[in-house]
Amino acid sequence: MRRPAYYYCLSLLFASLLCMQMVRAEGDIRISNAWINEAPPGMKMMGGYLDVSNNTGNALVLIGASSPCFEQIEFHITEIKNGVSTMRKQDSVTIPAGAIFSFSPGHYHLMLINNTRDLGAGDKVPLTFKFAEGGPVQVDAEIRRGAPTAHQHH
Amino acid sequence: MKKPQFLTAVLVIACIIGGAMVGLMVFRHQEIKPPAHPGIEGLLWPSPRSLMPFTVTDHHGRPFALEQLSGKWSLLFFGFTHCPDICPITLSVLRDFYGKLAGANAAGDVQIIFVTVDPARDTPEQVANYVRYFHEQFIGLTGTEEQIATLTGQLGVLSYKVDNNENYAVDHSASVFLISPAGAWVGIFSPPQQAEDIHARFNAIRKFIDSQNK
Repeated sequence: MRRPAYYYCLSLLFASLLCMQMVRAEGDIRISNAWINEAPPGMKMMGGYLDVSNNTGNALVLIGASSPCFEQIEFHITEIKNGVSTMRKQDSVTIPAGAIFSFSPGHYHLMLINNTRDLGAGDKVPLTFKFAEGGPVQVDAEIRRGAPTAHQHH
Repeated sequence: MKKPQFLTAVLVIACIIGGAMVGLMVFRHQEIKPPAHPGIEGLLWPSPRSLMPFTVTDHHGRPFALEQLSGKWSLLFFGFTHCPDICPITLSVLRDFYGKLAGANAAGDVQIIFVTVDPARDTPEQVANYVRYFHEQFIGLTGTEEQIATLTGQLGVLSYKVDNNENYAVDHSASVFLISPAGAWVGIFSPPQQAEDIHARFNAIRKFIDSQNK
């Protein structure tokens, strides 16, 4: 039996829509507990922290972040080696399938560079995250006057 | 008849020399042996190093020298104001530590000092804005690279600039250094630091050093 051409077209369209939905999978990438450590006045660098839950079933690669409140956002990792604190830029961050990946004080963090407006404790900052597999995912981060003692990474 | 006299003389001299040697050994043994390390984490003992003179600039733009450490317990942390993660964490920990002291009305003879390892960007004004945010009483130090090196060199503080873009980072020692009122480097608190731990160790070290000076 010969099926009409539109049948194939529709199937293709339906399949591609399904694929797009799977790739975007925004509902399966959850970003929570996003906050930014308030900086002393006049400082051009701020640290941001968050948890990324990856329930997509596949590894995710976080490739970028942006905000209208900052000129630039980078991913950095702080590591203490022999008592020396090192900070290194990461071009991307891979989040394994099923994992909750934490950006936390003293470890992975967002480096928020050159705020474009005054920001103080209580302000909400919109952040947009781009993943190689899809996105973007948007979240609001609150500026907090940090109490990092309890959060520090060991 | 001369032989026994000679032998007696030799014997007497030998006794004197031998006794002196034993005495000297006992004396030196006592002098060298310091009190045992009391097991306080972070205490540098038995031979804390005395700091040598240095002169840098404080956050008011005034000279700050070894004399400014005299008579106070000083906690020094080295970092840079463009550091968004470990430096604010450590200064917040020190703020919490300082608060615990203030609560006990004992903060008067304790000073918290932030020393920049990035003097090219950290002017006295920049450092003032930075340290005051954490506590009004905190002291910020900057200066020329050579001036800061006279302080970092003595404490074995390492720092090196990473990258060359305008947003460069500086790798740096993340420990907190404790200097006694006599200007001796008596303690080091390694990362990761907690205010409670620093508070407990500081009190123990202070008590121990005070007991040694009685």
